[in-house]
Amino acid sequence: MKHKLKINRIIRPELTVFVFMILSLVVGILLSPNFLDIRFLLGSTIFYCELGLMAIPFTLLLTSGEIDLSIAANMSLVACLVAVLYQAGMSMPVLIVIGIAVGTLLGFFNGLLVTVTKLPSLVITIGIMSVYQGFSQVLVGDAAISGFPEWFIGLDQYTILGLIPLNLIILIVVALIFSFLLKKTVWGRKVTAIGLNRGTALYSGVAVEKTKVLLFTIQGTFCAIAGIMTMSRLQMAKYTIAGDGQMDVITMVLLGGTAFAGGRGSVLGTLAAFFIIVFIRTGMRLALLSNYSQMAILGLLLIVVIIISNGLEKMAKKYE
Amino acid sequence: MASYNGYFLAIKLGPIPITRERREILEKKVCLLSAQKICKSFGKNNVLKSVDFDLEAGEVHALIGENGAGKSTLLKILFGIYQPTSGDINLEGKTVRMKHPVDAIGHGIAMIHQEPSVFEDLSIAENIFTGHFENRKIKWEDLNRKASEAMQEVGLQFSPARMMKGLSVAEQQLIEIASALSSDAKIIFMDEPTASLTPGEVENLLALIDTLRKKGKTIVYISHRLEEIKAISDRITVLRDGEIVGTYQNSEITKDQIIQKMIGKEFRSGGRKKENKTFGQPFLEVEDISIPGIFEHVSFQIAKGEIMGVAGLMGAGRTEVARGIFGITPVKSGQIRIGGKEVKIESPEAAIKNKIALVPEDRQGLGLFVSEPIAFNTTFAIIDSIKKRLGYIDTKKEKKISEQYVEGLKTKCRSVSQKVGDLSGGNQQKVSLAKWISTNPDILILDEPTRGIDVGAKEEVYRLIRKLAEEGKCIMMISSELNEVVSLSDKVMVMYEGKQTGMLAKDEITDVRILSAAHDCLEEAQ
Repeated sequence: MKHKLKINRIIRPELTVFVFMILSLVVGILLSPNFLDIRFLLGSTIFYCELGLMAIPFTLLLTSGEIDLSIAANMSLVACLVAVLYQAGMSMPVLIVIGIAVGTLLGFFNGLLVTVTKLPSLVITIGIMSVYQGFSQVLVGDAAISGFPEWFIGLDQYTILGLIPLNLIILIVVALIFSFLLKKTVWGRKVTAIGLNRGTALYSGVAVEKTKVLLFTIQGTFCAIAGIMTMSRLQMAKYTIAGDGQMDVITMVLLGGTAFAGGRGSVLGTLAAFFIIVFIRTGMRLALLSNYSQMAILGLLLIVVIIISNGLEKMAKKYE
Repeated sequence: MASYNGYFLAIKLGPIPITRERREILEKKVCLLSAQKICKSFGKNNVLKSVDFDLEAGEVHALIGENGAGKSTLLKILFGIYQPTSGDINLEGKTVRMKHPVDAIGHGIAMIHQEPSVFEDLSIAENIFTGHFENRKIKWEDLNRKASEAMQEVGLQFSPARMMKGLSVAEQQLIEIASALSSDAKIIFMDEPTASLTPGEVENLLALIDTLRKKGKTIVYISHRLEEIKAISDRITVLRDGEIVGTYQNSEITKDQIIQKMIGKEFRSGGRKKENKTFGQPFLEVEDISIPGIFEHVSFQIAKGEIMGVAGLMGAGRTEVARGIFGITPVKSGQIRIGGKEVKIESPEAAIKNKIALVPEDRQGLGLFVSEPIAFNTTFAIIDSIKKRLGYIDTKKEKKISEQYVEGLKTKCRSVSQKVGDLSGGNQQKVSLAKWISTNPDILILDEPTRGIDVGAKEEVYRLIRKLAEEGKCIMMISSELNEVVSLSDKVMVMYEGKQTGMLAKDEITDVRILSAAHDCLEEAQ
């Protein structure tokens, strides 16, 4: 009996992703001696930290049963807006505040639209994505705006102990806070409950719509922060600054063991998935694989991990 | 009046007289379908333990047993939805394997599920012929004509091109039966077909089953309602804990005997105490509340310690009144006063703040999180009160509270970390009740508190309701089971098509009055 209980405790949706994280690290080390250089490895995370940062609140959003495909578009729009207003002569510290406020507002607007129309967020945010992308292009055209103040650029160059990039620290701290919120607090339980069964949550007195709007709003805030961090790292803003970032974010969140239909989510799983993507992308770059083959491999990986973790879950059920 | 009188007739008449032709068929005792030594286990759970079951051609064979006795599992195995762990199935003397419902359908078996499984956005004709279209290329005229014929057999007169959406549960069920008939099924399984039907609809269904058997169909009928089983079946098989207690001719066994065999111990069919309790000031006062188009001008008062039963047909607006008071769909006009103070309840949160609780009828969809542990469910409605700093959930307290309720309500489970979905219907209902009792409400609204749970669990729920009333709670109990309304209520509100058609005081509560009001003909009855 005790033995079996233990198996249940070990087999969790997050298990697969942690195993794969270690596997990808091992493969990376085998492929390239650079992987043993901890500074290089940690340094290579900075290219993905902004996406990782968006994936953290996204984990909660998906756990509640909603999705936001406009996150990358929101990120670009905030970046472009800040850049254009900076060119127009406004001061950068004020613009950072304005940028975060605008991103938050865009997220709030998404949440409102989804809860008021009662349409699937997948549909609504596909539309919204195009709207935001369109706005970014109207704002900056094809231009890449640069020339930001000295202090603003190169946030990613700061490190703690000359080893861990500041961006990575921010990501990990945010992930720990959100993991605590989701797993240990009343609010997190309500978020999970909404994704498990909206009806029961509603009948139990959970403010379902308010919670969802709040989740979209938090998502918006983090999109804006990610947008500004990216500007700082790239030292410019362009409408393509976030690319198809929403796909990478969704990959991270699903890879991390969060259920697409909601009701089950793991922020630490998302964080582990973030490292998998960093290791694999870095490894593939070192192996001189093209961006396109990288995408294909990551896609395959996502499917394999989900199949394995579903299989494990069924096994765990058998042991009950 | 006519329709429910007929219902009572059907119940009181007992077994329908056997015609000569039928007797001939039955006397031959042709074994059509039989199952030998069927075992089925889900994980460690042995749901069926070496079950032998045989079905004679032309009979209506009732399966009865408490929840979790294995009735549905047996039918699902015979229909190919589940695979038996061991055992054989014989059809007309030949051993067959039902690997999939398609095999069963191919062998002339059809199954009517408890909840109709229909395609709402397809036409009636398409629904009828799904699974057995005759040609690859559909000839619509042909299909619609045949669909109309099939519908006539079950007494429906819709256009075959009409969408399934908007049909009542009873009508959808009839469409499923029509579908079974059009596929030339010889054997029809019915899993609690009357669970969500009104008395009139039940009567129609029983009449239809009788017609079907006259046409030589063989029917297996699962139901919790003894009256129906006594009225319609030829033979009755009683299951208990995954084993067959016995198969009996309907005429050989009485209702009390069936109940005894089901629960395996002496059972006293509870007589109710007639003493007239007196109650204090009304605590919950509802005055002239309406939601236009749903229900109108509903007024009632409940005192502390009083149980108000709410009777009426399916769709009479009873659940909607409960949802209105609980703030899910807030009332548009009228007044609600609690303890003399007027309250506005616009959301369930507001209702909970006003110490109102609603145990919904749909346990799995609205009452519980079935994939989560008992502890998660028990404390979910009071989760805000078991948090520490920063909203951190006090899991020890959570476990303790849940264990108290498991013990207090005698919920059968391994531990409070067991998933609610693994429990039987009755135990699920106990968790759902615990969840709401834990909020310590002044006003407790129960919507069909014993739907789909077995006799033993029902008695426990009744005791619990009485105890809660004695503790001084206002109780509003919506129920479609006449005997529970009659035996538990201190007064009864009856609704018909969104109107309040009766308010019966304790000494006026009788089956006939309730049913008359439920059909809006109380005056005629008096």
